[in-house]
Amino acid sequence: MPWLLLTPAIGLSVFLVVVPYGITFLYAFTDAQLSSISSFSGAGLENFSTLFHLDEPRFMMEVVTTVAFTAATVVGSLGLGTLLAVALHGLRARTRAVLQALILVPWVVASVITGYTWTFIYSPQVGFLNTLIERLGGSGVSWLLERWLAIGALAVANVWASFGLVFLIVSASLSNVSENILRAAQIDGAGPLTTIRRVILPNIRQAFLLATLVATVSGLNVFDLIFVITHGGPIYQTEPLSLLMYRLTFVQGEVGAGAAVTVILFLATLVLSVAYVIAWRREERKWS
Amino acid sequence: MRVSIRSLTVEFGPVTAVNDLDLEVGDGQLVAIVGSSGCGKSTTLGFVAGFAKATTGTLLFDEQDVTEVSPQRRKIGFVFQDYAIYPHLSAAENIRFPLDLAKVPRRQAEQQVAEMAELLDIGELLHRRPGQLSGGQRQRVALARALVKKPVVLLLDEPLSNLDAHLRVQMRAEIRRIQLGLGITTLFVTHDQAEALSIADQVAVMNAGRIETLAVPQEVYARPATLFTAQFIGSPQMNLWASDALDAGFVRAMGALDVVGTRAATVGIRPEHLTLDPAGIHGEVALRETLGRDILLHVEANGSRFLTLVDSQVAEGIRQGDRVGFVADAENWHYFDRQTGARLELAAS
Amino acid sequence: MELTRRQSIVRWTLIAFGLFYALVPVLWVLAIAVRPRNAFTFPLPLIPTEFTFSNLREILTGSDGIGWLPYVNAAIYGLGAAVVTGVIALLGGYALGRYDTRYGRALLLVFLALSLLPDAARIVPLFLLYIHTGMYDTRIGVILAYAAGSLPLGIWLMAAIIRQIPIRLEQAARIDGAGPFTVARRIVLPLARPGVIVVGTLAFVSGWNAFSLPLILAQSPNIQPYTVVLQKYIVAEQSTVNWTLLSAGSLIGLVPVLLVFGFLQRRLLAQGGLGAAVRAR
Repeated sequence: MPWLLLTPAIGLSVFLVVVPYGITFLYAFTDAQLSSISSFSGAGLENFSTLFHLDEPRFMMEVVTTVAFTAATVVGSLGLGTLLAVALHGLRARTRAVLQALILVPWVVASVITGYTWTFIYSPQVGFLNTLIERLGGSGVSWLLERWLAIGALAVANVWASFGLVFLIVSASLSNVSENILRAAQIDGAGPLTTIRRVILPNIRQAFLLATLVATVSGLNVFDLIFVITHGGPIYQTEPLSLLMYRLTFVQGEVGAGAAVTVILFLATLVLSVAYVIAWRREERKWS
Repeated sequence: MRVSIRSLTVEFGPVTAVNDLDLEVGDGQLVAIVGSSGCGKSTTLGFVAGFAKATTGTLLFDEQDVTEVSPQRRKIGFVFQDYAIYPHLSAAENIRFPLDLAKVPRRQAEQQVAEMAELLDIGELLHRRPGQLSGGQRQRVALARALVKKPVVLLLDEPLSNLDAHLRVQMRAEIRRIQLGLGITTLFVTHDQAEALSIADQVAVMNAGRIETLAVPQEVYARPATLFTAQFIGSPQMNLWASDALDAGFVRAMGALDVVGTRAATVGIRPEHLTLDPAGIHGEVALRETLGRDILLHVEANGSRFLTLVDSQVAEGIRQGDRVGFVADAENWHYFDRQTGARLELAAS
Repeated sequence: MELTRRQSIVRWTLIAFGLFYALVPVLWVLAIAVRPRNAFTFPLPLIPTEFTFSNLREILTGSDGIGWLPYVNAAIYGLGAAVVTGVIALLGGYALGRYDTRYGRALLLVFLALSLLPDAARIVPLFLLYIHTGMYDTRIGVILAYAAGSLPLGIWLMAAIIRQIPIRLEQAARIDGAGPFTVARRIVLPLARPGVIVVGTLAFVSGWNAFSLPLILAQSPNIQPYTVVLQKYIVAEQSTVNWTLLSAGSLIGLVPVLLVFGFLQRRLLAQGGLGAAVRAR
């Protein structure tokens, strides 16, 4: 193996990904403060226990926010991405390419720009939604003031940004289902819905798993979007763990506590990845 | 179930794949549609199945117009060239699939699957997945799946093209046996003319979107209706020349009619009908091909090349460079109009 | 597959909805960016009645704007990340693509795991590391940070693409007398070019769109990208948001990415690129 070729890659990754994470994990067990970053003392698991005793906001509330937001993102992007992939499947190549390009526009937009954009959409005065509603005779809604409405609104924005990737993954997998198999299903008497359910879905399960993982990780680790739209507000009602991590470290200067949240997030991602690999292996075995 | 295709024309934009085609398939008959790539045979089959939309044309199943009926309601069986069996289901589940969709009770369905498996000799393979089956086995599963719902018509789209030569010969006999046993009306598309001749009740030779010949295999071989048919059917290929490419005297001596000067024609004779005879026309052996039971000799005579098929025992001592003589019978010559390619029935004068 | 009329309607309704959902937000940004500052009656007309480019001008050159520099910075980050990622991913991808050993496969899995770690989770650790190593508040620091982020996926893609190049071609070149560097330069590189372009493009998009890392790692205003700088238009109370300039600024941030994406769309989704990588996974 030409390790020489791999040195830059490994070097960069180690230096800028592995080491930083290592450092953070260490900090999670200290009482380091932003103001005096180099002088700290060990604090054991104190940071973690403090988290659970946070009062304003309560840690569990933030966990709920994170989970709800992630779940909504996953359901939304999986649903829309898959449906569109199936809808576009079988169209003529040129039409498909055009539609595909248009559908993928949100995916390439910067997450902050997504944030700014959806701030416009949700703005009570100049937002697209309220403008549309007012034009149709209704009265505008304050989309981002009430907690669950806001979480939903944020999820819609995040789905907008991430369904493109799900669409890509499922599309690529769909192209492995040959035209003849679909025709065979038709001959056997299956209508489109039955075909999707009993022929297409079972064959794209692996891609579906991947898409689920991608969507979940994207939801768990959202940052830019919520930072810009609600900044976790109003009053921490929409603050997911990633923003908590930021606030603890850079606003309150509690580096140790912030690092602890990072560890929690990382562990969650790790658990999901392991679950994914296990599920993937199980699918692999079924096919060989 | 009789199948009637009437005035079928299929156009894809500027390209006409099928051009005003008519075909009648009698109940219980196996009709082979044969032709080279792009002649429109698969498109025609697709029309009968319901995948290919016709620009104009009607399809009748026993006098009932089914042109607008969707494929899932036509009650047909279809075997694809790549078999198209569901990779995520076992062989048994594959075969059972149409029955499940028709809501046949589980136990009855399994019974029918077992019968099919018996018919196609795949009983031990039922629990396996397509990934664990060979090409030939997959093909049997595809066939079983097509037949299990007792379709009224069976359609096969080059089902044997992906198999090894030996398997192909074996399977085509099997398919014919099963078809005769079930008495099911069948359309069999292939590019292999030997396949078509061997199992069909009638052979339809297609070229450029049209049927050039429709006849029983023996007729298609012995009296091809068009030049294209003559070229396509029969291996080794028929010897063919333009009528004015051969010397008149030579032509007469070979037993052929002298059409030079009377009408522009293409003249042909099959290699097996040129018999070695020292008293005949002489030529030099340019190449000797061993085919096993027969030997194919390429002979240069009178400025043209003749292919003659000779029994290997007869040709034993003949080598490249030797001079041989050959003759032909007048009745074995074929004549085709140079312009239209249509067969000419010319009597010896 | 042939669909009935009703099924066709369902399909196209779905597509229409998808397109609407995907494009309306972007169009709305456009719609606001071209309105003059004072055209904000309530409720707004959906289609602007007056057009102006003054907002775009103001953003880039006006006193209330943010100037060219933030966009230049973003471009630097994008191109920097693209180049660094492109080169390193090519090298590493070649190694992992050609050598299917146990270590190689394990390494690919590790890279896969790394690619799942999002930028935001790296903010804190990178911040600490950079402070310790003096890379805090430098352009190169940001570039490397994003390159490291795009690298895992890049290596994955490159490995998949390299695998599609038949090794026989390289062997034939060696037989013809080419040394390893020549083989790399004249055989591998040209054939891997589409893949490199894809990887580079993804890294560029990632760098151009950068927010969370520069937010923390780039303190001086003169190295901040437009994503960070545009925040100045959002103040706590929504009523004082300068919508027109914010949308104009966003629009300028959108355009290059859309152009790049549109231009390379065929490459991105053709037989090289993502399709191969997804199947490889």
